[in-house]
Amino acid sequence: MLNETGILFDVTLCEGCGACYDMCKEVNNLPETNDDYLKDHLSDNTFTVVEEYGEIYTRKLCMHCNEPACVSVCLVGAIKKSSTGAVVYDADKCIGCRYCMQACPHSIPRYEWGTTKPRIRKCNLCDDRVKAGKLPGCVEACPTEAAIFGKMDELIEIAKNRLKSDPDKYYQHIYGLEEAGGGHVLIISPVPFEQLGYVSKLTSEPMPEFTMRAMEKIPSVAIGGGLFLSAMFWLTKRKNELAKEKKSTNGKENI
Amino acid sequence: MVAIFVLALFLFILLVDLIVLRIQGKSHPAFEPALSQYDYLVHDGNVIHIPSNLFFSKGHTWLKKNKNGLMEIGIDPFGSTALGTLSILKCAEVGEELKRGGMIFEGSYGNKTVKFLSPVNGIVKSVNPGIIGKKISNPYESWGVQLVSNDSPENRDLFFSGSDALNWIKNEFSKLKYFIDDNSPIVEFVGETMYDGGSLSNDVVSLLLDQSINDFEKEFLSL
Amino acid sequence: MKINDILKPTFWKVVSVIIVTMGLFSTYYRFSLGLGLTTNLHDSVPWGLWIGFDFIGVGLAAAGFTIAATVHIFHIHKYEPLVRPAILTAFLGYSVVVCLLVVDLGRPENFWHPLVMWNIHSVMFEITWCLICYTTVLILEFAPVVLEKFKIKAPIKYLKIISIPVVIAGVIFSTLHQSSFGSLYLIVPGKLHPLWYSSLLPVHFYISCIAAGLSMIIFESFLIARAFTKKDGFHHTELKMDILSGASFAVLIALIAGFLLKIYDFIDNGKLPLLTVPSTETYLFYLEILIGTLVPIFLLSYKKLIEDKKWMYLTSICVISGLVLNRLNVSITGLAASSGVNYFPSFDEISITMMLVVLAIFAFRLIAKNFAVFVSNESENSVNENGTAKSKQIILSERYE
Repeated sequence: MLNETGILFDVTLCEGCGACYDMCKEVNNLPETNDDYLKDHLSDNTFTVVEEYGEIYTRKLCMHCNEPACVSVCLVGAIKKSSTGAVVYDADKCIGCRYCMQACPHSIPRYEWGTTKPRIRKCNLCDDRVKAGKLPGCVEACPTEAAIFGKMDELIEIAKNRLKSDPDKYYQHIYGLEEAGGGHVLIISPVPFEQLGYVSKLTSEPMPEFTMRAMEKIPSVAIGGGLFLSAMFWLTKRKNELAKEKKSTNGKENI
Repeated sequence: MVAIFVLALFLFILLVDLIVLRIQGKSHPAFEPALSQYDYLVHDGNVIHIPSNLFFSKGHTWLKKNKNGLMEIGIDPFGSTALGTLSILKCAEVGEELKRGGMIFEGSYGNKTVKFLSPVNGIVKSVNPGIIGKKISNPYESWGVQLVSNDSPENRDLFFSGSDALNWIKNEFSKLKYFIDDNSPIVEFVGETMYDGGSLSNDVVSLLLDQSINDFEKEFLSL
Repeated sequence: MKINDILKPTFWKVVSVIIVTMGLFSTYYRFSLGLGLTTNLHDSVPWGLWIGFDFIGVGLAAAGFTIAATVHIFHIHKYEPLVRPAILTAFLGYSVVVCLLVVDLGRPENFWHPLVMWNIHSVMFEITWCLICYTTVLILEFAPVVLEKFKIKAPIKYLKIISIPVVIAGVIFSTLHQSSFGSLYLIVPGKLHPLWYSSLLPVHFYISCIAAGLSMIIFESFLIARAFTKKDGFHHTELKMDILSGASFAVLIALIAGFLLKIYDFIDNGKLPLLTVPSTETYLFYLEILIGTLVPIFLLSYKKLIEDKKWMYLTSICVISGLVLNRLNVSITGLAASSGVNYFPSFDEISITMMLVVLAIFAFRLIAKNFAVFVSNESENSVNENGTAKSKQIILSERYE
């Protein structure tokens, strides 16, 4: 956690220029998908978008959860946490069950529906660039420093300071710090987050916990069930044998 | 919507199947009026059917209330096979006023004669002429007499139906095995056969002592 | 059967051929064009009819483990005649499910990956393994029937020795994956409509599959009695009402248990007010409970109706319909609002599904024709006893004739 890195996005600083959108496409070799970047939406060829809400601009991208639902549900482990904290995807392992898309609380993963060898597509926080010591594409491109990159504890500190030093300017909540157990993309904004199209009402509990509560009962169900069934097998067998013996002795008496 | 669609498709296919059967002149097992309701395997390969629309009296006659109010009475599969195949010798006569417990049929297993008792009060309306002097092959098709009666066969204390009837008939058959054991002079032989899981042979009556047929009537044909 | 008989067209043969032909074309398109062009799935609706149908198929195949447990573990031999049809149904049901899963996978060529790439935290992983293990169990349970036919006696001895552990393992694998289909949705508390979302989803799924699996066997007994008649040379295919009445009673108990659990769940989680919100979800929920639970409970409570084959047939259809509604409500209806899209399956999705069902029915017919799937109560237990009994009876009648 200490060395893990992430992005802090400050909605108040964003001017909606779309530099992050363009850079993302360039870094990931993605084809153009819409003439007007403000009208585009996340897709298999768009990993981040800039959205316009009146005067306010905000971004959507993978939140890179600390305990991602997608990682926990992937049966072959094609989605993994990288050492940097990014949630990365290995297409060679993927079998294409799309449970990750279903499970993601932010509904981020997209699919290459149009091909016969489809991949899951989403932001990977430019994991290769970060590991090579570079900034993520979108952060590097941002002219207003609305998106900054750094170690998570430092980013949290900065966000908290901004909320504290200018309480009138900011809605007092850091989105992504606790949502679904928290993640590596933090967002601060002047307005409540549901107004910006973010999924609010997410629990602070990581999503995999919901499954774990059921999964952890499996060993006891298996062992307990096995014992119970074996016991029932012997008991009912014995009972039948006794009944049979009784029957045959009765029969003999009758003769 | 998808849920409704899949459900509708499922029900639609079932409906089409019913229509197809109707066109082919066949009936679906769930809706055919005919028999084979409760089955009980007795003799090797022989199955006893207990149709759910019939009622059974303890004297081994079956009753069926017809739509026209008449009550049909016949001999049940136990009665028609208990000690070999039964042939009917006599029936109550048309116009006769039957009392519950009065003689309704007289039949014979081989050379032994037995009486079946009327399960209800009523007046005999008609008699099936086709059954006299013949062996009963299908007990439910050969009704014996039709009665005008006010008694209701749905009285659960007097008559059995459905699974009750099945359990009762099963019980009667196992009682019969012991009965034959007890009344047969060659005990070992019959007994052995039965306890080995074998079944009743078709000609049991010849094994029995002469007087035991009265006990049979008392044990199995009384109401 | 002569070639002429096989080629003689009947209504259902013609319909089946049409469905399978369409299905084959759709399968070809699905694999050559990809999911996007042939299905109505998209980013907001990653799972559609195929996954929903998998839930239905697995739920309806549940009799495989309940009947096997009743007969082999609880030693209630009355239900013996149902064991083989139930196991065969389960096996074919699971085959349909596996085929549909492969069709649904984006990269079907990687279907074997879960065997070597593990993520034990994934419910899907657990389900996959339980499916594999349980299908193996079903094959082992059915193997004696096949071996008998080909008179290969040696392995039957070993199969008999391991039969009880195999049945127990089968029950446990079934319990785990039947409930885990419910666990799949535990991770989407924000997406699945609260009428269906519950931390008890796995238990709901488990109880409802028991009721529906038994109902499926009852329903199927009617199909068998309809399709495999004495005239065609089948024996022991007639309806065995006392057995089916017993199974119906078990259905009643499972339905009541499931209903009580639902009530507890609604009260405990304060979900009762949801029942008065007018919405598609609420109406479908009511329909599901009404058809799948309340009507059958009402019908089954009358002894007279339980013993009447017409009502028994209709009741089994009700319970099956209830499961169909429930599984599709959980997998599609309940997620529609949060996805913001109205999903309806494409032609290819429907035709591939129907093709697989038709093929399963065809396989059932083929296997039933060639192997001893239908047996009577006595025959399996007491072959030897019957043998001796018969010979003695012959002596008996010879002597006194």
